Amino acid sequence: LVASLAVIAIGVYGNFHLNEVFPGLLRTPTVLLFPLFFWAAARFGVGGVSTSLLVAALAASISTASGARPYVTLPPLESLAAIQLYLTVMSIPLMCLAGVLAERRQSASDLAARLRFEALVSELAASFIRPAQPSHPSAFEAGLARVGTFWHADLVLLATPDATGQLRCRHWCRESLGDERTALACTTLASAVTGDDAPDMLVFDSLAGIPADVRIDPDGLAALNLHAAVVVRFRTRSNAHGALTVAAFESRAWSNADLAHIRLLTEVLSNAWAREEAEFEVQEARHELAKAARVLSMAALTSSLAHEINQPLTAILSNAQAGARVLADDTPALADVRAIIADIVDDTRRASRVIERLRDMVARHSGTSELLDLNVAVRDVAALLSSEAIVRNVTVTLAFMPEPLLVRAVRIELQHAILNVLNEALRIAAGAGVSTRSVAVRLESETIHAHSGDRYARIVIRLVDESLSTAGASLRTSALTVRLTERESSLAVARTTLEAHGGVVSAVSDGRGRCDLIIALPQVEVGAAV
Amino acid sequence: MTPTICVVDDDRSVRRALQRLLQAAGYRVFTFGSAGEFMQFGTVPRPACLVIDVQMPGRTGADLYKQLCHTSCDVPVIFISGHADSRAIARITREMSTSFLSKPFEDEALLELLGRAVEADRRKLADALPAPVQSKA
Repeated sequence: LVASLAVIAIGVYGNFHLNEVFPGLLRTPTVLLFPLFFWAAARFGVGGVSTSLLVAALAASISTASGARPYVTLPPLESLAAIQLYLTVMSIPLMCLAGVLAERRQSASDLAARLRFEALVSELAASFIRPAQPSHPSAFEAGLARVGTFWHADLVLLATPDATGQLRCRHWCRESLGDERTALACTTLASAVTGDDAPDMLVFDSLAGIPADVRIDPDGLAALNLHAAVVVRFRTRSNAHGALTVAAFESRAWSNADLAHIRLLTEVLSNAWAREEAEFEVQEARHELAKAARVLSMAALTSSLAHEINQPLTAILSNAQAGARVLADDTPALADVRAIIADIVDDTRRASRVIERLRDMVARHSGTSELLDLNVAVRDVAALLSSEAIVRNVTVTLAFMPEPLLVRAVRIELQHAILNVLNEALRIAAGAGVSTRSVAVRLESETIHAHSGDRYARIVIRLVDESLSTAGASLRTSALTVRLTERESSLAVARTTLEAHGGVVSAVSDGRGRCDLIIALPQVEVGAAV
Repeated sequence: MTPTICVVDDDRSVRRALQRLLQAAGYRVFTFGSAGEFMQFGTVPRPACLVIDVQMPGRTGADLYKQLCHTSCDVPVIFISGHADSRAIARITREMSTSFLSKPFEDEALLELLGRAVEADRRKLADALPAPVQSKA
């Protein structure tokens, strides 16, 4: 640009005249400088315009001094003054244009930076939607990696206090420091802001820039190869202090925008941490609830389980004693003995299956959700309750769906919830008149939203009591609805468990002496499950 | 004459095992899967004793006993049950003047009760028969 300007300016202000080369044209016009001035304004901004004008002024001055001048009708000094005036007038719009363009460029740059930061925040927020899921075990580590990459940092540390108040560290490092050195860096930097009377933020561009009032050892940091860092304190749900650190292995400056953004990210990460803590507490509460549900359902099943196990034991004992008597004969019927032994084997297996089912129901299981066929879950629970139905003298009929009715749930929790609801139905049915002690269980699929095609898998447990009037059935429905909300009732525990799986349980009267207990869970389509 | 015992129990394995045990002990045995099945079966010779399970689907053992009492059937009854609260059932069966065994039970216990019940039934039937006419030789 400068070279072009110098050449054209000398042409414009010097002795070179275009009309000598191209007769008929004007003498070299000053307008030839305009494109170069605009180029300078658009490409190089205010500095470019200033330089261009200076070059043009110098060229004009040198030309005038050497006897050539553009305004030949004016004396040299006046010609020079006219050129200066001309350039001054030109500079005003050019400067304005350069300023506007520079402003626009800065705005675009700021906007791009802001968008990049917002994209980072969005990605972080999205990665923490379900931080406690086993499928996202490293959501924090991935988040820290994004933060490190965004600021071209070398080390990002998230120090969070555990139940005893000790700092636990999650980290991302461009080049591995080793576990021991990483832990040391984490505690050294985090302690600077989490201690008593410590500032809520520590910023240093180099080791020499560490504030004097901060209790931190620069030599220790030098040994860790850390030369610049921003450490921001945050408060956890339990009112303890944690810290986010963004550090670099080289000295570097942190802008105010950097500091503001790191503060904001600290908020995002501390919120994610708080949510993970809350999720953990909810999971613990769910485990406790599941345990309570198991205790409740096992307590309710004590008598029926005793009945169920005593049946094969009775058969085994009686068969064995019958076999002993047969063998005591002088000519024992060996065919009878063989049949007896075969029956003993069958009954032993039957008793074993009962114990196996019991063990499944009582043992502590992992709380992992899985795809379950509701048909199978209901069939297993009904098998476990078959003795309970006999003890209570209630007839239970089951109507399954021909195709799998898939739901996503923790198997043992779902089974206990169904068991508690079905057991409650048996308890109520047992109180009905002799001829109407029956419970009909039906499985079905119901569309929730016609547009989306979302469906509920439903278990409809119908209590048939012909001795009840319509008003009586309504009263029973109301009583069941109250029991669904009563603290520590088996129905309420089942309701809470089902709600944790996105389901509902409700009592509904059909107005004709029939009362339905309905369990509904979001259905997973067979195709979607694959 | 071989005494006849009727076993009413909804559990097929228990029915088969009891049938074998009682047959090995020298009884004639008929088994039934429910109270209704027992009541419908009309060709049974009068049993010397009934062994009835307390908990059965539909009509329970107690329902069957009440029905038998209603029809003036005075056959001795032994109730059996695998229910956890066997003491409560034992109390109820005592009130009904019947015997009770909690499952699983020893063969001696069942056979002793059966022996007593069959003997009592035999005496009751003998007492009910008209006294033999003494011939004056």
